[in-house]
Amino acid sequence: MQAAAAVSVKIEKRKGNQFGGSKMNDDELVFRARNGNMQAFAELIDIHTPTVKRFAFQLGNKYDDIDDITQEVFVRVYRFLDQFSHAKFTTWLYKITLNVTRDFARSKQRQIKKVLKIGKERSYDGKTAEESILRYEEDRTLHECIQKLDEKYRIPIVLFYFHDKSYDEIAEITGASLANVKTRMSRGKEHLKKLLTLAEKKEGVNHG
Amino acid sequence: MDDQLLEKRLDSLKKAYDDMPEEENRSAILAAIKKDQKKQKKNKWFHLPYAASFIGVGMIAGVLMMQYIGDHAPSEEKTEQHQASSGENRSGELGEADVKAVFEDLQEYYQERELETKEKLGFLSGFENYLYRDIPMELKDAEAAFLSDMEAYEETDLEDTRKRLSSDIDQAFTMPSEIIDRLLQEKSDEVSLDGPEYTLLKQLESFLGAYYLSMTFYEDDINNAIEKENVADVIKKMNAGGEGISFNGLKEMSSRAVENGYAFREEEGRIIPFVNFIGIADRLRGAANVDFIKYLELRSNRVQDRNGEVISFESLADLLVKLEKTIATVEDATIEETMRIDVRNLFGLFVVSQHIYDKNNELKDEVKQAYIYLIKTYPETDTASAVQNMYKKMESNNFQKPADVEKLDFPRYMEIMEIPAHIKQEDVIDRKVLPISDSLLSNYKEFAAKKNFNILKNYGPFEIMQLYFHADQTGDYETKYALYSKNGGQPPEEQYIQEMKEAKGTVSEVLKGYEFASLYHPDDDPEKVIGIQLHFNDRPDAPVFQVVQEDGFWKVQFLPFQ
Repeated sequence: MQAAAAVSVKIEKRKGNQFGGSKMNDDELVFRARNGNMQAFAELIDIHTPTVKRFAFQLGNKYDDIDDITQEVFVRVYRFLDQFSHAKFTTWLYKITLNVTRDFARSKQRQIKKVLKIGKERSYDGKTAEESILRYEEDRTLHECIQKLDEKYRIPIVLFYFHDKSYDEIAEITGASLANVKTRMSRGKEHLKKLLTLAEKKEGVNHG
Repeated sequence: MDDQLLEKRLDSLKKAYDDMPEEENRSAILAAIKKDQKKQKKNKWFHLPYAASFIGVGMIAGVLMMQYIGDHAPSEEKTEQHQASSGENRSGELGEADVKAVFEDLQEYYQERELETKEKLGFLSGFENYLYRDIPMELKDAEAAFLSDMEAYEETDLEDTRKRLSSDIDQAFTMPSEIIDRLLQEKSDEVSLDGPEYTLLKQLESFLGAYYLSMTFYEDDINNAIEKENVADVIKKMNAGGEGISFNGLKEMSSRAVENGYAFREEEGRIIPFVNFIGIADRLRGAANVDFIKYLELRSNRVQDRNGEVISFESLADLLVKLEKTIATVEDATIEETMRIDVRNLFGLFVVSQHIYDKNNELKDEVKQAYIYLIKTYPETDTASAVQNMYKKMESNNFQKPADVEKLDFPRYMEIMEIPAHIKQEDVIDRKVLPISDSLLSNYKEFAAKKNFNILKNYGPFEIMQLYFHADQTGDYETKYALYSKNGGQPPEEQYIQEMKEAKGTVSEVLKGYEFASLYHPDDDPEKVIGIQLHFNDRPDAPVFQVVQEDGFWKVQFLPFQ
């Protein structure tokens, strides 16, 4: 069977992705948008906004900032649309979201100094936006623990568990090697387990 | 806590995330884009539309690229050539002096690399434009972020940032010639998006902008050189690496440009630089990945001029067919995907873009002629069939630009096939039968000459079938006969060849509508392979091409489809 095994078997698997539409669809839309078709770009926005928002929130941005971040992501996508050529559109979008988030964190730190800290901003029903989205305390605790992870562990975990990305795709998005992604995933999970255990112990103390 | 519980918790959190409210943001985003575009127009540091020598991507602003590196932040594990002295504070707390020292070092490092790179590009002192001028700005921003909230950071954050920015700088200033050298030394069996091949393409685009700028800087030299001899001679000398040019600055720049993979040509009375894809392909031939070389060759086809206008629709038609034929022979998945993306862009440019219509919104005559040329010249190709479909639609619309963007039907080979449920994925062979790849062809020739199966020992049933079809298609019945199993009851060779010559039609006709193949197993032994099943897009039957393994070699059963 050796010779049979030498037959290279490859298959292009077509599947939907986290960013909604199929690849062909994205490419077509990108092509049209690049040729000045704003309607096509608007469609790209509609398709991908939910995932950009979710990803930005999962990366640890405050819910109140998500709209600004999403806006900036698409402003950059449009600005650099000409340069997008060889990568997968969604991979590019994830990368841009990461960069915008990093930049946003930097400028945010400068703003914070100027603004009086008044604690968590409450919405009309007395809940923070985060509390409204993550209704269960267990989810909120895990969300917070993930935020405490170092970025190098946090991003792979978010992409793997919440965006169904493969290790290869994570490597491409983060620019890390495949081996690094694997190590980070396993270390990240260990850290996360510890953080979660710790957080829940604390809660137990507070509640009990 | 065990893994299982963690996974369960993560799964529950995912569901909560998925339920996040989806509000409409489109209009706010579009308004922000408009505002940003206005700002960009005002602030453009340097704008020079130039010929897109890259297929499919239209106008790629290399100059803008130089101002922008943020999108491909490399991993922190990458090059660490530069170790800034961070004045480490062992306690892990961060001091303002540490931060300042690190960023001062990084600024210095940027300046060093920038200067060094200008030299490597062949620019003399006096060339004052910054390369990647956004880097120092980014460094300043990052420093300010640290200093504004020292308590939020630890020493490791500073170290991580230092590594990341230092690696950004290294990546930005990697010379194409350095990557070419690397590719000459180590061959990649598989090309990856962050490997040297794609880094080379990216860096070539980046520095093209710098050479554009340098044309203004060397204008005097160029004018003086042209006064002495004609433009063509000057260009010839520049492309020969500056040999024979008496102006030192121009000579040095030409030499470095050529070394880095660029060349020069005249366009509208000006000498302009371009990426010499063919030259690079020639340099790398034999050393680099074969499919990457094929890609470079394709990229040498210029599609659009400096204003984004299609230079020749007939050449674009040729290129689309070239792409179809090349994709069939490419084995590397990344290169194949890249080519497919190019096809999507180029095919769109050819059949639906605004470039195909004139001012009166009618299809340009030269475009119509190019369609007819393609359909007539390459009738067998999927590209021709797809163009024919589009042509019919346009004809029914009197060749007027449709109100809505036309639905784009890509050539059939671009479509993703549907695999019937009963076929195992690992059995699927998603490749064309013909034409055969270069390496297979070279082994075919050797086999045809020697008829020794040892030459084909590394091939499986699919490749043996490809060789059989190739022999049939080229009328090489001697080799076709040699591919048979000796126990198939075939007639004597001479009689066979005679019969084949007299027979009408070829086995290759069987391949019309072929979509993909799969390994075929007997019912009683799912491990054993007894044939290759061919699947077609226009008929339900899937004939099996029978093969047999003899003495460790795969051979064709006589009358393989019976």
